[in-house]
Amino acid sequence: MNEKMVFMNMMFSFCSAIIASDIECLAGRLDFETTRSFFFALAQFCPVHVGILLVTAWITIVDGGKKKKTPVWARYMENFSTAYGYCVTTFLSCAGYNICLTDNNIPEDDGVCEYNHYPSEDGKVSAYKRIVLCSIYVTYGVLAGVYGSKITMQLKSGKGKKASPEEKKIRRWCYLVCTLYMGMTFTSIGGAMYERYNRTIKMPVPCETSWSPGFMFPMYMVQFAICYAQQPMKKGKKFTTHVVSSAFAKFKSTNRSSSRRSKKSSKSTGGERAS
Amino acid sequence: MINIYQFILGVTALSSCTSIPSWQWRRQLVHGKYSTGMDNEHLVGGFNQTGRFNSSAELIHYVCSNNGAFYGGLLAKASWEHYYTYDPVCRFPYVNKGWYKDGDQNCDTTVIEGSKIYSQCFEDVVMDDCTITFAQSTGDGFWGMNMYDSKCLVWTCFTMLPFMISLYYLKVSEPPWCLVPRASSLLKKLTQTSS
Repeated sequence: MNEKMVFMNMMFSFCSAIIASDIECLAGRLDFETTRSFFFALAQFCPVHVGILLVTAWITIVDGGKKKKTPVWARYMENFSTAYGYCVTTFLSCAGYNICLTDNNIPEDDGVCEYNHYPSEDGKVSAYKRIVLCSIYVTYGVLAGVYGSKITMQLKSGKGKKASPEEKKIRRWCYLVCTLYMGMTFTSIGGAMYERYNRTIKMPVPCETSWSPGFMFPMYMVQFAICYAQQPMKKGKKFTTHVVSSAFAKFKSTNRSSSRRSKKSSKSTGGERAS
Repeated sequence: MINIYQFILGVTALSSCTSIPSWQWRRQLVHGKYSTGMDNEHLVGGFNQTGRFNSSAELIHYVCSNNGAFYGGLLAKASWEHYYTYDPVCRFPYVNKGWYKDGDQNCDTTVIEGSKIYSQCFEDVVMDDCTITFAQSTGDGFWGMNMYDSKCLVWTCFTMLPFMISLYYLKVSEPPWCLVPRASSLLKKLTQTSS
């Protein structure tokens, strides 16, 4: 499972790197209508897929029994959500730049949505894409919340068996993922409905540009957050903790040896002076 | 680092060969004085620039100041109607020769009437000549690249860093699904049984 999630993060990084090769499509290496929207949709769904894998793993731990076997419904749901998410979002991302459903609510100007001299994403198709994503966020957000509360109930009742530290850790993660999914749901609904609904989102060439990466920065942060969360254990410690402590130990030892050397040298120089 | 970048660019170029067939349902817009009146075929000459604008200064004022697409933005209700009636001057991502820092690296921007109009950077704009991409007009970056390409390179390298870390994690954890040793052991077994 962990390898699968690491692999997903690799895929996320790879798609982000492709997008970063032409961030705003201003060099003509990528174009909004095909490659950019395809890879962006893939990159957008990779972290969601990691969340799906995590929630399924927690369901397996809580409901899997002694054999830790994933319940059939959870397995089917995982497969369906993944296939549905990847296929529908990539299709709608590409379709949004190629079809026109919106009218921008301008009554005096019929068919104002159409434009083909620079990329423009259809407001309605974009909203449908966000709604698809929302359905997955809500499903897995609720599941994460439910399984978090199940573990809490187990901890409170304390009947039969005691909750392990692993379960306590899972409960914390369940609530974190639930909160994240719910936050993403509200953001997506905001983006899909209110002002942006039925409005074509246009990307004309700007007049000037800056070094600011824009939307790339949050993607980069998510990549590193997943990397941090998935780090393997080494000698009973987290990988980063192990690296930091070993580096600190090495620094200490070099510091000691250098101080010893300096003491020795001062003694020797002192001796020389004395002599 | 450059090799990774070139590799990504190669992959991108390959992937862009597979374009979606032309089932676009869009129609073309015509808006008053500044209407393009041209179709997508007119790439190099721009969209009837000399017919629409009296001078390059008027063109720049239309694109970059109050009349431009960036005035107000999508969420400002007072101006979104204008946002949808903006007609570009060149096909995306092309701009006029002399745009921004093309030909003049050290140009500066000035503020006039409360809105930027980039007077110095756009003095040498050539009408009806959309032969450069916007990336080419962003000025010098590093390693002989333009500023936009340098920015893209920096962020590509940044995003490849988690990729490398993840690859190292996989190496450390020795995944059971690693197919190469399995395949080699299977081949060995097969050769042993056949002999």
